[in-house]
Amino acid sequence: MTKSLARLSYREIFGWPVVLAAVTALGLVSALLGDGVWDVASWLTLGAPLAALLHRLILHGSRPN
Amino acid sequence: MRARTVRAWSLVHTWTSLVATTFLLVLCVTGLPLIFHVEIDAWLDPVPAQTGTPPGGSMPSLDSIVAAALEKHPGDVPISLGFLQDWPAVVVQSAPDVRSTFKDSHRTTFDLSTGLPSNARDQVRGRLTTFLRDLHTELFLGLPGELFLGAMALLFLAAIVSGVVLYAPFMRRLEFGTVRTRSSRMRRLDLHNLIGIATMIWLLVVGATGAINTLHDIVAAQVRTEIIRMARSHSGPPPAKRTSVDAAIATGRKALPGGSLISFFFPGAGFATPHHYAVFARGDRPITSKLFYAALVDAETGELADVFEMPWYAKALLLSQPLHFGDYGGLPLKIIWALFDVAAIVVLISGVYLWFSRRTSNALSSARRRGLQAGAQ
Repeated sequence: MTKSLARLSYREIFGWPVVLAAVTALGLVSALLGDGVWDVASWLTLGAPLAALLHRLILHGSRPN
Repeated sequence: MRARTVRAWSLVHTWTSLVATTFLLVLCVTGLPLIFHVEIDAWLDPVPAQTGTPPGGSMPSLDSIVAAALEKHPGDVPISLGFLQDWPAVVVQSAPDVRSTFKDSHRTTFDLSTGLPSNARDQVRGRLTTFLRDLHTELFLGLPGELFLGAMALLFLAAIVSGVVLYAPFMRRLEFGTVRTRSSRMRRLDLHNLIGIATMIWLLVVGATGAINTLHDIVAAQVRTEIIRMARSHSGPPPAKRTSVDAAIATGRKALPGGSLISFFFPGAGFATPHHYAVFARGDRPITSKLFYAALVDAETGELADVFEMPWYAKALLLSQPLHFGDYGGLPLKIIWALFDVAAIVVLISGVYLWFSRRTSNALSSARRRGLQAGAQ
């Protein structure tokens, strides 16, 4: 993961952040639109960036560099 | 991005966040328990079980509840009724004069099913959460404190945007999610970047809605002015004799979307005109249930005078509230809000650390440079 990469394009740099941003935005709006299914949808979508973070942090913690 | 551009953005990012960090930390730390204020209040001051409807079964009228409140505070005139959202209870506010300050007014809570005094309001507004909310919204400084925190929120937004811009040059040769462990500074830098970029939309939304919320008092005053201006065509002298509160609310509700009642103002007080009662209710759809609608009812004839929707800026404020509080999707959403809040705290603290350690290392390296020069001489 930390191997030196060639210069990344903006698209490569912001690819995942944009995906997470879009998913977060969906989650923030969905619970406003209704109850029940809409709330569940917001828990799942808003959980995604948190899960991604947790995944990276655990991976990082278990891999001494 | 050119080096000069990066340096400029970096200056923006450093200084907007450094100025705001202390206050943002206060906001994050006080905000964390406030997410759960309903749960905390219920835990600290459990409300006694509802006493049920009185024998005979008929609900007491609001007119009789208002009369009971005035009996408790002789010499008062009625100001407003505030309906609690989660309990069948109403707060009757009365004061020596319709324009008395809030501090000089008396507030008595009544159970709507029994008509008896109740302590439901104390439960809804616990002492601990009220303290935290005052600190969180205005630093105990009233309107100036609110506006100051609004300015801090704007700095926060600038810090987020500049942070996102700076993410690109920092990540030019790193895959998403990389956390280098070569040095503790590098580790913290990568964590700061990763957590910041993964939570940026939440940070932006909560920061922006927080900034909007600091205008609450100003917007409320403006809405009142506007209601009175719109109602001027109906306006008249103070009513000689007032019609029933229950009837006025029934009339108002027939004209409003069918959501729950929020509040009721007597002529001359709060959001009412000198001649009208004002009835406030929520809408009955998921989004309109966050908004307020108002009806003016002639206090002398009991007839409907007019119906108002809030102006756009008041709607924006009301819709920004759930997006700031995270209270619109059940307990799981509140827990998610808390996790994002903790992430924000980590970003703030690691940011300060990065600034501080860079200053120290800059000082060290220039000292070292000076040492080399001295050695060369």
